[in-house]
Amino acid sequence: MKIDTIPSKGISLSLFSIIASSVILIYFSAWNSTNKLNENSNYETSWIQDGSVFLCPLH
Amino acid sequence: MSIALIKKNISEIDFHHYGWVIVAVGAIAQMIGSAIRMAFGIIIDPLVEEFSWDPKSIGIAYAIMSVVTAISSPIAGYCSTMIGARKTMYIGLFLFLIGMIWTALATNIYEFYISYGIIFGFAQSMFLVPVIPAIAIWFKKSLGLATGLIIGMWSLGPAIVIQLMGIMLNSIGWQNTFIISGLVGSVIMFIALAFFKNTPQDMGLLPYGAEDSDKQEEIKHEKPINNYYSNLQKIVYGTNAFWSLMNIHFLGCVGHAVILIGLVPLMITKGISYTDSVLCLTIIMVVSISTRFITPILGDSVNPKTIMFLSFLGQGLFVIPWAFTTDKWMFYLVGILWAIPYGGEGTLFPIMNRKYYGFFRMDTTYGWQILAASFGMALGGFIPGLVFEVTGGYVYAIWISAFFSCLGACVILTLETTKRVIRPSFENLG
Repeated sequence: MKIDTIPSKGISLSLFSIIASSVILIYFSAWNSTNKLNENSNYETSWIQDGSVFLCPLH
Repeated sequence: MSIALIKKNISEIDFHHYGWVIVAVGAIAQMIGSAIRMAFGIIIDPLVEEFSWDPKSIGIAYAIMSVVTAISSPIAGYCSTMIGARKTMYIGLFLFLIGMIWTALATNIYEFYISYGIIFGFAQSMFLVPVIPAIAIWFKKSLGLATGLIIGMWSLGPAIVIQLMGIMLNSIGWQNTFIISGLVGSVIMFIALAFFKNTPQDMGLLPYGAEDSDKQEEIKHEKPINNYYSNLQKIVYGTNAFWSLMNIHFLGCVGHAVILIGLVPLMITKGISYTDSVLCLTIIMVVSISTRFITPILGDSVNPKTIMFLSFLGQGLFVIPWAFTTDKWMFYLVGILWAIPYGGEGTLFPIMNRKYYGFFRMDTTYGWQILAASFGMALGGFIPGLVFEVTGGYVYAIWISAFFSCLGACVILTLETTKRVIRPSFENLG
């Protein structure tokens, strides 16, 4: 087994997993926020909900 | 083939070696350490009743504990390398006792967050992280059987302890249950740790399965030289396997945490009764005990990478029928099938560490893997609730679980072969 100076494959795959997890969380959080806003326009969103709607291109 | 292999493995074991006493102590530590986490469910109602705290606020204590355990796991691994597993576990024991008594005496929610969330979070990592790496130092051969016996306790231990605590809770109240369990658990652990030795050299022994020719090498490395260990750890950090194994542990834990948290509510939304749904979860727990025990033995004897890949793939694919079925018996059947790879999925990491890095102190490496696993459990535990809030069901959660487990299987395919070991030149590490 090779000892790499920078273990690029391992680190990139880990980053991919972190990004995939974030995408899923952002997508569902944004979906949740828009649902609540559609039901009640006076609904006060938290900064997390605002952030997820801002980041999600589908909501 | 696998049963014959396991029988052959066990028949060749010399159970008179002191390493098996270390396994017994490790198993007790696992029982107590994992029971801390599992006992949480039984104190929610008493806390709501006594203090009128809402379940969501109480749940924050569990989240704090999970995060503190995750973050402190590499610290526990580092402590274990530097001061030894025994002293680290004594620190864990002290924190466990303080946490149990303080939790019982807590009168406001913030005190509860500190006693259960922070103190227990640290206690759990100090208990759980050093055990497996210590076993790895004691066993040059049969590491699979030794770890299998201990990891089996992750399921069996809490099942026994929670039953006992449940009975006590009904008869003497939750506060006395916590105080008595804390005192009894501490005394048992204190006695058990008296028999615990960090390394075979502490008793003038060789690790289990080591030959006399290995003795010179063992003597050469018996002093814990800080530079030596930090240099060795730097080599480990520089390998793809270190990062990928953390990643795989994270993905696998998301995959099964979604199911463990979301299965019962999923079954209920499909019209199955609460009792029948809980029975399905119990079946999974019981079946998984056997594979937790068997998988490390198989991995040690055959090829851990292949077995790990099959476990992840099975954990990912066998959940899919749950997305379509509404039949109770189908849930049970799939539950049995799913429990087999689920039980084996997380048990091979010590074996993989051994295969990749040889006979070395894996405390810090294992601590990082537990950190990744704990974050995976936290994320996996959060997903079903979020999905239900959005969709009104849990079917998407099943697909998310399948995605994470299958992604883990794909990452396993990128790992190097386990047939070759990094064997750093120890002479150059001082």
